[in-house]
Amino acid sequence: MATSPNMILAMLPNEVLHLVFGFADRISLLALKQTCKQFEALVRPYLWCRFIYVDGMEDCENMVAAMDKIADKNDFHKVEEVRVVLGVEEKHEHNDQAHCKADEDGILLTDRFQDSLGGLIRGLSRIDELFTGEPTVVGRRMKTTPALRERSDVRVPGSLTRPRNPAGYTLRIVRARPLENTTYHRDFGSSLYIDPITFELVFQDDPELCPTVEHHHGMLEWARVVRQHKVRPKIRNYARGVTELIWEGWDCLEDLGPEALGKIANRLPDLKVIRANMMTRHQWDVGCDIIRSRLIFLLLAYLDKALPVEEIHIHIPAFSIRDEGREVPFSNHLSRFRFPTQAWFTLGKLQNLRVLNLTGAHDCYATFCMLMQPFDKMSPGYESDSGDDERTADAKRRSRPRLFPKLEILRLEIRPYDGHEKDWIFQYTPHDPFDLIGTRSDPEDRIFRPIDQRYVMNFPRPGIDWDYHLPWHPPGPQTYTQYYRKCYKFLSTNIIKSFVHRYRRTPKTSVIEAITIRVVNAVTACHALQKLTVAAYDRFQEVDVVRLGLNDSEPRPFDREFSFTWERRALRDNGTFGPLVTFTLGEYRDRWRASQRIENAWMDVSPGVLFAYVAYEGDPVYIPRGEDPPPIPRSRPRRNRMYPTTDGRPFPRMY
Amino acid sequence: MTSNATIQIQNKLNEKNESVSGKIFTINRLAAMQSGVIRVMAQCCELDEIKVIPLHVAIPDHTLGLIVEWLDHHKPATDSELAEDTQSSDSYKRVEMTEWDQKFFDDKVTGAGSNDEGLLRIIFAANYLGIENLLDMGVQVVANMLKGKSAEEIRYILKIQNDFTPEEEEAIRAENNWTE
Repeated sequence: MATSPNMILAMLPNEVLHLVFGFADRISLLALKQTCKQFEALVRPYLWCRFIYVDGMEDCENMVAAMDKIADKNDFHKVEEVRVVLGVEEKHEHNDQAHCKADEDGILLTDRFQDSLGGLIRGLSRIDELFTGEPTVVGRRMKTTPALRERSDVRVPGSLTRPRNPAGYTLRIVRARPLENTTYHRDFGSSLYIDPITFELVFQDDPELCPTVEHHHGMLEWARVVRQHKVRPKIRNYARGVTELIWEGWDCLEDLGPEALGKIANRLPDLKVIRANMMTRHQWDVGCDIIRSRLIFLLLAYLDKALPVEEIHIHIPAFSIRDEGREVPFSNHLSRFRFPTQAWFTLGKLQNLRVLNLTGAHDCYATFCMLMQPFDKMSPGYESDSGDDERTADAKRRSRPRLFPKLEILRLEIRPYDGHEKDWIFQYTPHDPFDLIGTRSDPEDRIFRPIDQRYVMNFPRPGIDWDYHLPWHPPGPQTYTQYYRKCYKFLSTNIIKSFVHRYRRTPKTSVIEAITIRVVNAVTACHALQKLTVAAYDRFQEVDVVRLGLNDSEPRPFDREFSFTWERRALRDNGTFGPLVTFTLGEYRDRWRASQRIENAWMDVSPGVLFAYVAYEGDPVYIPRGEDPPPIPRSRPRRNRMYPTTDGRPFPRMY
Repeated sequence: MTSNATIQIQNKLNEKNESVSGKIFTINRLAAMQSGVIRVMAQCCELDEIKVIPLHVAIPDHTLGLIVEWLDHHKPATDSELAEDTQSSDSYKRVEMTEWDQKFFDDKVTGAGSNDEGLLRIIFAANYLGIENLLDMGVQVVANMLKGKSAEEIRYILKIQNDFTPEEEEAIRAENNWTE
C-alpha cells in the first residue's frame, strides 16, 4: 500500500475520520487543526459540533437560533460541552424591574438575565430534540448490502448514527461580568420564603419589606407569577446527555440564580455533577453573606429529589463590601427566612448524592449546620422529651427518610476572605473578616452608617436555643470594629461548639475529608482546638486532615499567616501506629499555651501519641512522647468522662 | 445451525498483488456474523446454500487473517448474544479495549514491522466488512496516537507538511485560544 505524506489520516474515508475525531480529545483536535489546511477544514466543523460555545447571549431567541444554526451544519452525536456565556446586561434602575413574566414552561423570567436562562433551557431542549427526535439525514442508519456499499455515491454513515456521546457532556454557564449597582434583587430576596412543609417558594408581601413603591409593585407582580406557577418546574423539556453542569457566577439575582440553576438541573435527567462558583466581586452590604448561605438551600430546594446527582461542589467566595457611602437598606432577611428543617425529613432529597463540597465564605457554616440538623435529630437521645420510650423513638428515627443517604464525603472549607480587590474602598483583610482596612485609617468608623435594623442570625444550636440575636449596631461605647470582632469571636466559638457537637453525632458513613476553620481570637482558638482534639478522638476517626487557622490578635501584620496544621496519620484499623500530630506554630504569643492545651487533651485520650512541634521559623523541633506508641483502640466507651487539665482541675466536657 | 458451524470466506484474487491471493479462510459462523456485510448476506439468502462467501474488495491475506483471528476471539457464545451485540445503535456503548486487544494491536497490527500501514489496512477492512467494534478499536488506536501531542509533534508523526502561512497559523492559534 502506498504511503502518502498524511499517511494514515489522509487515506481514511470521511466517515472513519469522523470516528477518529470522535475518539480524540479536544486538545488533540485543536492540535490537529493546526497542522495543515486539510485537517483544519476537516476538524473545524467537528470541533464545533463537539464543543458548542454560545457567546454573549442576550436573549432566548439567540440561543435557539444558535442551536438551529448549529443543527444545520452538524450532528450532535459527540457534543461534550456546551458553554454559554451569558450576555452583559445594562444597568438596571430600581424601576426597571417590571420584567416579570413566565415562559410557557413555567420558568420565571424576571428580567433579561432570566430571559437568557429561559432561552438556555429552550436551547437545551433543542439539543435534546436533536439528540432524541427524528433522526436527521446524518443520523439515519441505512440498511446496505455489499453491492450497495461498493457504489461510490452511497455514503454509509455507519457509526455516526450514535445517538449521543455516551460519556455525556458538560453544560457550562458563565456570566460575562456581574451587574453593577443593583439592589432590588436583594429586596426580592427578602420577600422570598420557602415553605418548610410544601417546600414551595412563596412570597411574603409584607409592606414593611418593600421600601419603595416601585419595589412593592415589582414584588407583587413577581409574587403573582410565583403563585400562579407554583415555582416548581414542570419537567417537560429537558436535555439528555448533560452529565456535568458548571455555573460560574451567581453574583446577582442571588435567589434567582439557584432557582434557575435548580430548574435547569431538573431538566437534565443524566446530570451527575453540579459545580457552582459564585463570582468574587460583590458590592452589597454585609448581610448578603448570610443570605448567600440560603443559596445552597435554595439550590437544594429546587433540585428534584429524583435527580441522579452524585456530586455537588459549591464555592462562594468570602464576602466583601463596597458601600460607597450610601445607606444600604439592610432588609431583615433572616427574620423572614425560616430554614426548612422539617422539610429535610419529608423529602429524601438527592438519594444518590455522594459528595457535598462547600467551600468559601464563613457563611457556609450556617448552611453546614443546617445540613447537619437531620443528623442531630436522628441521633440517640434527641427525642427524649417527646414522651416516647427509647424503642419507639428509635423506630421513629429509623423510619425517617435519610437526608443524602449515600453521602460519603462532606467537605467543608471555610475562609473569611480569599481575594484581593484593590479598587475596593473597603475590604476585609485576609486574616479577619471583621477587621476592616478602612476602619484602621478611619477612626470614626464611618463605614457602617446607623441603620435601624437588627442583625439576626439563626444559629442552629442543639437544644432549645436556636437564635442568637446580635444587634446590628454596637451597644455601648465601642467601635464597630471592636464590636464585630467580639461578635465574630462569639460566633466562631459557637461554630466550633456546634461543629464538635454535630460531628460527634454524624453517622460514620459520612466521612469528613478535610475541615478548615479560621478563628480570630487566640483564646477562642485554644478552646476550640482543645475541644476539637477531644472530640476528634471520639468521632474524627475518619478525618485525614484537620487544619485550624489561628489569627493572632493585635498587632496583625497582613502579610503573615498564622496557622496550625494538624495532621493525623496512620490511625487506621490495625492500630499499629500512633497518630502523628503536627502543629505548625507561627509567631503566636500563646502558641505554647495552645499547644499544651491541645497536647494535654490529646494525651488524655491517647497517651502514645507522637507530637511534632514545627516552628514557624527555623528548623523543626520534634518532641517525641514515647518511642513505641501502643495500639490505639478504635473506639472508647462514650461515657460522661471528665478530662483533667494540666493543673489537675477537671473541666467539664462541653456537651 | 449449531454454534460450532463454520463458514468460509474467500478473499478477492488480485493477480497483480501477491498478498491478495484469493485465499479461503474458515471461520466460526457466530464469529463471522459480527461482520455487518456477512450478516446482510445471511439475511438475503440462506447461508447453507452458500459454501464460500466471496469478498468484493481485495484485502491482504495477512490482514484478513488477523481479522479472522480477532473475530474468533470475540465470538459471541450464542445467537441471542450475537443479536444483542449487533442490535440497533440506540444502545451504543464505547468499546473498551481489553488487554488481549491491546496486545493484538501492539504485536500484530502495528508491530512486526507493519507499523501504520497495518493499522490502516485493519481499519479499512473493518470498515468494509462492517465490524464496528474492530473499527472502533482501530480508530481509538489512531486517536491515541494524537493524544497529548502538539501540532508540531503530530506533523512529525504523520509526516504532515505545514502549508499555513505564519499569519494563518497565528489566526488559528488565536481562534483556538477562545475554545480552551
